[in-house]
Amino acid sequence: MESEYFFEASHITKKFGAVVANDDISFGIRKAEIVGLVGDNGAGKTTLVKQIMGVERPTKGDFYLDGKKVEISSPTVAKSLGINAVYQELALFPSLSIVENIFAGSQLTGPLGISKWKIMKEKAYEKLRVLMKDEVPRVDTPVKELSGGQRQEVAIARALLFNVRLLILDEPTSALSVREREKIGELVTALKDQGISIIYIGHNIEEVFNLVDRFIILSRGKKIADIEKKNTSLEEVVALIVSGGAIGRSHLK
Amino acid sequence: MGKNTIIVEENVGAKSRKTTVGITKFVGSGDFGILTALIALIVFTGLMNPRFFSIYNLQTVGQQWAVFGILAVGETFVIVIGGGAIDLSLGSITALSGVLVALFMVNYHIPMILSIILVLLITSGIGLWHGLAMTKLDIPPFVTTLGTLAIARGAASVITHGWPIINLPNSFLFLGQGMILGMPVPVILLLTIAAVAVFFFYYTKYGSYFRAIGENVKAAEKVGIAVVKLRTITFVLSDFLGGLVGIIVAARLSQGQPAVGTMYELYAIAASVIGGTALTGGVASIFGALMGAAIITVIWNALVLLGISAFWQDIALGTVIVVAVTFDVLRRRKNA
Ligand SMILES: Nc1ncnc2c1ncn2[C@@H]1O[C@H](COP(=O)(O)OP(=O)(O)OP(=O)(O)O)[C@@H](O)[C@H]1O
Ligand SMILES: [Mg+2]
Repeated sequence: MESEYFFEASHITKKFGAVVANDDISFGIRKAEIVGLVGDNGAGKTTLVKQIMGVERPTKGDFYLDGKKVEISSPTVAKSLGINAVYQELALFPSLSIVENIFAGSQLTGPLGISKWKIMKEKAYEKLRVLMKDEVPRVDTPVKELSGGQRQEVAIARALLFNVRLLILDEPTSALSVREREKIGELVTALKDQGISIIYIGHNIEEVFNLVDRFIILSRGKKIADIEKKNTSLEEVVALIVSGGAIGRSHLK
Repeated sequence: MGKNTIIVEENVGAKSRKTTVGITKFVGSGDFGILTALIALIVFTGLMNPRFFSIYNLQTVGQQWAVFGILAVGETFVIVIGGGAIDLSLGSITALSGVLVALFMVNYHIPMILSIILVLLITSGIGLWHGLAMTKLDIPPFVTTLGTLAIARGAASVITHGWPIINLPNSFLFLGQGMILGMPVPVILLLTIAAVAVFFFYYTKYGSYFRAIGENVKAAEKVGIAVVKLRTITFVLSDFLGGLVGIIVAARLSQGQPAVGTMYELYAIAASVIGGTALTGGVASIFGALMGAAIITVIWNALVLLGISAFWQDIALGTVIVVAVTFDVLRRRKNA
């Protein structure tokens, strides 16, 4: 049977010594779907992201893309598969320029490894112009001179650099102003309209609720719920997170 | 914000405009400050003793600048990758390399070129060990390179029984004493290495990745920069250059001498820091390192010209190092 999911995680388990950060987690992602990945601090969300991105390898379990098993052994592999992420702490390099940040880990080079700065600057500018709309800073400005919202956009521009099918946003709005948060929300919706799927991690459940199509809820490393937004309510999602699934309903898994 | 808000046309704009922007940028940069300091120091030394500007003295200064400068370039590559990366072994590697190249040529009659290649392979191998110890075994580079500081120096003495190895071939001496159009060969080697280092650091992706690793290693891993490989390579580069300096020094002194290079690692670190490299990694300037090395060389030469005893030279250079690092730390704290 043809699966409705283009990306699947199957029985993902990640142990750090005695800590089981992810415990037998399975789920799928549809095309052009926004999935909210939520759960308390330390529930294992970032750990899951790192494995999807090839930063960490699962202790057990596999990932499937278009029904085929994929070994995501490094972030470079993830990028080549059309998967990219914006991390909680943004993973930026403050004293490097905007263009160096956007192309960190994937610079365009010619013979002898010579950086193609001119092309990279143009591409970086193009990406930022679409994201920032109004004022675009010079792309050789050090990132430390940017505002929180601009940094966020640089991190997103980096994630959108290559043809991305699955974009993961790990708490993209935690350090942002209200206006900047709205901008991220609009952006996520626009990306969905382009057919991109998004895993959206956030602690502000109300904000996440407005944005997503579905919730995957983690608690202490385990998946405790996987539920369409239309079949639940804000109150129920919050209750599930708080109780760690103790108020579980059988249809949620 | 404001002044940064310019559209891309200007980034890619007319060449002349770009050059003007470049010069304005340079004048405002740390590189310019260090160049000014160097010129002031040279003028001061020349006023105190006009012999400073004699051809012979300038050539001596050039030879010593080459030694400190090449080491400073290597040290800069190591320090910039951060995570406590530092190479304390450069002085001892200089001694070991000089002794080995002499041993190979004089005692084992290995042809000069082959001896040089062998020695550079050996010192690069030591660098590989330093790099792998940091990246694979999580041993602080401070510890492994301090170990090599003692071991390589000891090995140099054991090999020679404490005596210099003499009777090096004349063609070899050219590397340390030769002149091309009045320019000492070591200076030509320094400028060649500097050109390669500048190319590597500013025109290929590696310089950018080195700084990225030094600034935020976790982020570097997340974006797929080959952290282990690149960190390891910097130590190989540094100790390769240490080996090269050992060869130059042996050629200049006409002997493999186990006592040379004492404290050179400190001068290399000082040159790097004076030149704007942050000891915490992430920020570095090749040009600055070369100027830093020139400053240390001129101070060293000035103390000799002014007849100040060698004991005071160590005290003076040590003070310069502490002052430079202190200023660097304070400046960065203010900016943070
Ligand atoms: N490298 C590591 N070594 C050891 N333990 C780790 C490591 N990374 C994560 N953990 C542990 O795994 C668990 C899950 O952490 P994770 O960062 O994935 O949670 P999270 O859901 O992203 O939390 P938050 O909402 O606070 O970001 C925590 O107990 C954490 O301490
Ligand atoms: Mg997290």
